[in-house]
Amino acid sequence: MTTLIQVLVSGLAIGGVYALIAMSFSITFTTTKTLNFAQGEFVAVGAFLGVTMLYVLARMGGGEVSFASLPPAASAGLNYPAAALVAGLVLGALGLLLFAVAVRPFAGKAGMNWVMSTIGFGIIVQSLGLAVWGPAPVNVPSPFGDDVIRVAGAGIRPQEILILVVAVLLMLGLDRVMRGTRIGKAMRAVAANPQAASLMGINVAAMMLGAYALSSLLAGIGGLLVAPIASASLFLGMGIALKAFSGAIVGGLDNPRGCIAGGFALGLLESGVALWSAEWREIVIFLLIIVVLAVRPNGLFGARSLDKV
Amino acid sequence: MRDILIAVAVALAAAALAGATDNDFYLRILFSICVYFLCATGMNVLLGFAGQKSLGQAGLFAAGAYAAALLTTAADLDPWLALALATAISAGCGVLIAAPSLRVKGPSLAMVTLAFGIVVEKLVTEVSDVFGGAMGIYAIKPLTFAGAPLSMAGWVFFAIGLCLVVHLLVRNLLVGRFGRAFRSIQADEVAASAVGVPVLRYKVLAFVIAAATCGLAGALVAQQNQYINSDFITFNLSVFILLTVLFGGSGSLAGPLFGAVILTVLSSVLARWTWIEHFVNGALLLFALYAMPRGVAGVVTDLIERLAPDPRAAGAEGSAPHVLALPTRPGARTDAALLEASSLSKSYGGVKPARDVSVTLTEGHIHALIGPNGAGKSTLINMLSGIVRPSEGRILFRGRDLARCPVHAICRLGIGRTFQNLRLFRELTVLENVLLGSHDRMRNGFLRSLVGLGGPEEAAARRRASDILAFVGLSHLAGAKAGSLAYGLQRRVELARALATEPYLLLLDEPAAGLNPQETDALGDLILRIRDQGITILLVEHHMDMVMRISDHVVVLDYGEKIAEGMPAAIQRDPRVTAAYLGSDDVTLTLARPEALAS
Amino acid sequence: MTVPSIAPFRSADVPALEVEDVSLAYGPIAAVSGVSLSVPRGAVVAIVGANGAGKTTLLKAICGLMPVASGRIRFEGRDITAMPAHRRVTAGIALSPEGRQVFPDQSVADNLELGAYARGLSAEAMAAAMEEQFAFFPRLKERRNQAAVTLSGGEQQMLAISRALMAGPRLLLLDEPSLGLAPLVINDIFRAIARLRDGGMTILLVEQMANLALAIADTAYVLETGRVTLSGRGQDLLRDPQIRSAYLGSGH
Repeated sequence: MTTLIQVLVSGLAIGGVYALIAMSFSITFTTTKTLNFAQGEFVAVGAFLGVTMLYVLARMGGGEVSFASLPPAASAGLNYPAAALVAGLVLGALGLLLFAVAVRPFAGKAGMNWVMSTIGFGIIVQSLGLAVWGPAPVNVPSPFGDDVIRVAGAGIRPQEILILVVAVLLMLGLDRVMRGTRIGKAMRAVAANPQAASLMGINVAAMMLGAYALSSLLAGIGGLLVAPIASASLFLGMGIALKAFSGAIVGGLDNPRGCIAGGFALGLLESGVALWSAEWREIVIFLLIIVVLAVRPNGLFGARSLDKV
Repeated sequence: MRDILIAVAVALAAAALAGATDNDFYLRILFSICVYFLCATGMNVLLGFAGQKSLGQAGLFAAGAYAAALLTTAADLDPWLALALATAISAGCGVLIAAPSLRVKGPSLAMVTLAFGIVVEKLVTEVSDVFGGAMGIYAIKPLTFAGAPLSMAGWVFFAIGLCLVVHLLVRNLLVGRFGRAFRSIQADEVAASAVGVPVLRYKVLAFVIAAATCGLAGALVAQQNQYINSDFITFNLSVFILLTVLFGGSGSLAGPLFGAVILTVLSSVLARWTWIEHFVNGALLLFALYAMPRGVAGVVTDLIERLAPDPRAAGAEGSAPHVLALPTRPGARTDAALLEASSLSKSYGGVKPARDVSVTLTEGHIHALIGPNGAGKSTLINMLSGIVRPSEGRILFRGRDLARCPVHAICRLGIGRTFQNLRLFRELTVLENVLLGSHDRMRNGFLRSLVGLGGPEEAAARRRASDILAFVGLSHLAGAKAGSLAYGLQRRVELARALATEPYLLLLDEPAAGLNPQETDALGDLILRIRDQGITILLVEHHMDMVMRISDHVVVLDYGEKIAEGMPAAIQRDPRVTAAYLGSDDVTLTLARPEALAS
Repeated sequence: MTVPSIAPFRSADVPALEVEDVSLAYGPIAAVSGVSLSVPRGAVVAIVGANGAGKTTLLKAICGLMPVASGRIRFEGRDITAMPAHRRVTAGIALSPEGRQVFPDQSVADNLELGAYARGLSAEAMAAAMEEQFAFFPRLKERRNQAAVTLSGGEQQMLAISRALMAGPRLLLLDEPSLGLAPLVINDIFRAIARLRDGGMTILLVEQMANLALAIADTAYVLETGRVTLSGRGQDLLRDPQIRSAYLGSGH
C-alpha cells in the first residue's frame, strides 16, 4: 500500500512534467507539422535560467550564496514564481528565434531537414549553456522545502505535489483555451487546414510563431519545475524530452488530450518499473515505445491519417 | 570506371601518408578518419540515397563494438572471426531498428531511431555486469597479422584497405538498380511502388547496410583500443555521423570522404575546448543545411564543372529515328476480359467516391473514363493500381484477384500507371526515371550487384530504356534532369517510365492535363501507337476531343456511380451524360431571375 | 424566405471586383493568361469551363491564396493585388472553397464561429449571426453540435457557404459548389444561391455545371485553358452551342 502510494505520487509528478512537454510537442506539431528536436536542451536551459534568476535574487537579498547549491531560502516567497516567469519568457523568445532560424526555412519542404536543423540549434544552445554554466549539476531548492512529507507511510516531496498542481493547472488552462476560446479554435483550424484558416481571416504565420513561443515557454517552465527533484544539469533534458515525446506519440501527436494522458501514463509506468529495477527503467520504457509504435503508428488515441494521391 | 581509379588512388595516397609518418597522433587521426568514413558510407546509403533519418547510429556502433569485445573476451573467439561476427550482429540490429520504419513515418521515425540509440546507451551504461558500464571491458583481443598484434601503422593500413573495399562494394550497389531504387524511395514512395520497387524491403536493406558499416567501425575501434566503455556511446556520436554525411555531401559517393576528413581533423584540433567543439558541430550542421544542401562534394562538383565542363552534358538535339517497337511481355492473347472489376465501392467517412462500379476492360482496346470533377475517376484508377483499397468489390486481372496485392506486386503482374499530378523523380535524369520503370524487369540480385556483376542486366535495361525513349521521342533528353523539363515533356517522361514496366494494362490519369492543343493531339497519336503494340489502355481525361477520337469504349462516372458506357459517339449524344456535365435542364428555369427570362 | 443581411457598399458607382489582365502560373506552367473580368455590385457573375481551365486558380488569386504573375485585382476600387489572404477577409471578400474544406474535427457551430473570426463579434452578435445562417439552412441547426466530418457532402457544402457568409462579406466567392454532390442536392444548393442573389448579394461563381451556373448568373465568362474565350449574358450563353462543345467535344 505504502509503495503503491509512493509509486503513484512520484509517477504522477514526473508524469506531469512529461505531459506538459508532450503538450508542447503537440502544440507545434498540430499547427506547423514540425517538432522541436531540441526541446530537451530547451528544458535544461530553462532550468538553468531559473536557477540563475534564483541566484541573482538571493544575491540581491544580500548574503553569500553558492550557485551550485542554493540555500532553501533562495526559492522562498515570490522568488520561485519570478524565476519561472523569467525562464518561461526567455525560452518563449528563444522559441521565436528557433522558428525563424531553424524551422521556417525548412518546414513544408521535402526531406524533413527541420529535424536536423533543430538538433543543430539545440547543440548550439547547449554548448553556449556549457560555456556559461559548465557541465556540473546544481542543486535547486524547492519553494516548499525539501523535507519529506509522510502520507500513509509513503515519503512525498513537496515539489512533487507542486509539479502536479502546476502541470494540471497549466494543462487545464490550455485545454480550456484550445476548445473554448476564439484563439484556441483558430489554432485548431490552422492545424486542420492552414489554407482554409487563412480564408477565415486568421493570420496563419502569426499563429505558427505563437505556437513555437508557447511550446518553448512550456519547456522553460517544465525545466524549472523538474530541477528540484532531478539533479539539474545541462544534460537532463534529453531523457525528459524523449519520454515526453514517447508519451505524445502513444497518446497521438495530433490529439492534445491524448498527449496529456500519454505523458501521465509514461510517468506512472516509469515509476512502476523503477520499483522493480532502477537501471532498467528507461530501457524498458523506450523498448515499449518502439513496440507500441510498430503496432500502432499513430499512437493509441491518434487519428488515422489518409494519404491523398 | 574512372571513379574506381580515383578511389584506389586516394586509398594509396592515404596509405603512403601513413607510411611516411611514425607520429602516433597523426596515425590515430588517420585511423579515426577511416572509422568515421566507414560509418558515413553506410549512413550515406540510408540518409543520402534512401532518405531515411536515423538519429541512433551510435547504438549500432555500440552493437559492433560490444559484440567484438564480448566475443573476444567472454567467448574467447578469434579476433578476425569476432570482427566478422560483430558486423553481422549489428546488421541484425539494423533489421530491428528498421522494423518500426515499416509502419512509422516522418518525425516519429526519427524519434524512434533516437530512442533506439538512447536504449543502447543506457544498456551499456546501466547493465554493468555484462557491459562493464563506465568501467568498460578490458583486454579485447586486437587483430593479428602473422601471429603478432597489428602495430598502429598496421591498423591504419588495414583500416584504409577496409574503407576501400567497403566503398567499392557500396559503389557497385549504388550505381545500378539498387541505388536508383533507394533514390526513388526518397523522392516519392507512392511513385516508387507504382513502378515496382518493393519500398519496405528496400528501406530495411538501407538500414541494414548502415548498421553493418557502423558496427564494423565500432568493432574496429574496440579491437584497436583493446578497450571499450560507455563513454564512447553518446547521442553526440550519432549526430557526428549524421553531420559527416550532411557536411560531406549526402547522396554523393565522395561525400563521406570529404566529411570524414574535414570533420575528424577539425575535431582533433578543437578537442581541447569541449564546448567550442560542440558549438562548431552544431553551427556546421545548420550551415550545411542552409548554405550547402549538397555538402562539400556538391561544391567540389560545381567547381569541377565550371573549370572543365563535361562535353556530354551539352547533349545533341538530334532527331533519333522513331523506334516502332516497344519492349513488351510475352502473354497469350485471349478474347476474355483483361480486367474485370465488379461492384467496387469506396467510402471515406460520410463521403463515397465510388458506389458499386463495375468495369470490364478488353485486351487491345483504349478505354476512356470520363465524368465531371469529383465523380470518382481517380479513385477508381487508384483502386485498380492498388494505391487505394476498395471497401467492397473485387478486381480480377488476367484471372488473378488483386485484393491482397501490394502496389509493387500489381505492377509486377503487369499494370503500369501515370499520375494526375505528375509523380516523376524530379532530381533523377530522364533515363534514370525510365530505368526505374525497368526495376522489376531486371534480374540482377543483391549479391550480383554488390560484387559488380550487374553489368549485363544493366546494359540490357539501358537498351530497352533507350528504345522506349526513342518510341516516345525523348532520346535527345535522356541525360536531362526530369524536373527541369517543360511540363508537356515531363508528362511524356512519366508515360515512358510506365511503359518501361512492360505493362499489359496502362492506366493514364489525365495524361493531357496542362497540355496545349498541339501537344494533346500528339499525345493522342502516341497513345494510339502504344495501343498498336498490344498494350491495353484505360485513360481518365477531360479533353473530350481526344477522348472521342482515340477511344474504343467510354465509361461515364457521375457522383461515384457508373451512369453510362458505350461507343464514343453514343456517349456524346447521351442525355444523361449531358446532364451530368452541364446540369439538368429542368431546374435551370427555376433558377433564373424573372426579369432576365422576360427580356 | 430568409436571407442573411448584407453589409452596404462603401461607394455606389465602382464595381465590386475588377480583375485586370491577370496571369497566373504554377512554377513554369501558365494556368491563367491575361484574364480580365468585372463583377458589378449586386450581380452574380459565373466563370464556367471544363476541369483544368484555370477557374479555381483564378479564384485563389482573388482571395489571396496565390500570387499573381502580372495584372491587377481591385476590390471596390481599391487595389488588393498584394494584400495577404487573411486581410482580404477583413476587407469584405469571403470564399467557399473548392472541395468545401470545412474544419473536420470541429463542430458546425465552431466552423461558423471561425467564419466570423475576423469580425471579433460579441457573444450576442455572434449568436445572432449564427441564427441568421440557421434560418437560411435549417439543416445546419439540427447538426450544430456535430463534428463537421460527420455531415453529408451536401450539408458540408451548406456549411462552407454559411461559414463564408459569417464573415459578413460584400463579395461572396463560390468555388464549384456542385463538386461531388448528388444531382438533387446540387439543385438544392443552387436554389439557395439564387435566394442569396435575390437578397442582393454580389457573387462570383466558379462552376463546371454550365447550365446551372449560366441560368443563375447575370453575366458569365467561359474559360478555356486559362483564357476567356466567350462572355456575355448568362441567358444568352445558355443557348450557345459553343458551351456544350467546350465540355463534350465538338463531335466528329
